[in-house]
Amino acid sequence: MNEIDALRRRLAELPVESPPPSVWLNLQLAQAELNPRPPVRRGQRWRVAAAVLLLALVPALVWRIPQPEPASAYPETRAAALRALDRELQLKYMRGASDVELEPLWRQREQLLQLPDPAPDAAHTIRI
Amino acid sequence: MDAATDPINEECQWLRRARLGDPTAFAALYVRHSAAVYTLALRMSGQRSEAEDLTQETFLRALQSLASAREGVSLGPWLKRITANLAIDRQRRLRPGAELDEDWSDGRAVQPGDSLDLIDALTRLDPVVRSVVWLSLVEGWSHRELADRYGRSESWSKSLLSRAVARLKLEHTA
Repeated sequence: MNEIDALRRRLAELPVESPPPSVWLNLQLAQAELNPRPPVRRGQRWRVAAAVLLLALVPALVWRIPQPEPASAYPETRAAALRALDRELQLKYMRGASDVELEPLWRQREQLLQLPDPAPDAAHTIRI
Repeated sequence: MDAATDPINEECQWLRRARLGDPTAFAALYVRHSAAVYTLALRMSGQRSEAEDLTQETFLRALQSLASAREGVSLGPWLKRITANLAIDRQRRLRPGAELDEDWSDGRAVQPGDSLDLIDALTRLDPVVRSVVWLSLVEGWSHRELADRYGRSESWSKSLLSRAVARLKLEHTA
């Protein structure tokens, strides 16, 4: 094996890395603006702008400080992302994927789950 | 492999639904390809913040160009081509036509006996050199393609790769 082939092999073996959840959130906010269906309802455009500004200025704080509820698309797209991740994991397991292939997806899922609960109004049990 | 688990057929269905504005379909495409796109962006740029910008821009461009994406093939290569082109455009904007200096490094001296891991050794290369190495050896770009995108000659690309391989061999000890 010559030097170039040896380097090619070593480079191909370097780990695959996943982007942080902020990339996904920023994309969804941009998509909500671009995509006319479902439309961003009137009265909530300021929330989209506020969420974009917050994410752009303080990305490290998104997961630590409770934020005003972002665009209406956020709860649905977070759930959509989780469903997509779970389906992708299921398919990879069915195809016998290696731990190396699975690890980025598990990491993405874990990061997404660490985001603030997007459904603060969801029903929950109150102990009397 | 049935239609439900055939990855190409699955992507085809996601692509069609994404074109109609289905956010779940776009999410599925993002989940499948974002790691590969981000890794390519990271290897070319050497910086996480820039890699995040490149990844976001790639999927935004893809979202706006879904009509031109081919069905029946994985979207991975198309998305990575967008990423690579964005990264190269950024490099050319930051340093239009400038020659690479002989050092190619970020100024940190390599001491005798240093053992750098390969990622560190790659990161120390000039961004253009690093990109040529990665695109050529990992992504399979030809020297013709590299020359065209960088506005240089094929001999420039071959020479760059040859010298980079020698530099990486010198700095990286297994």
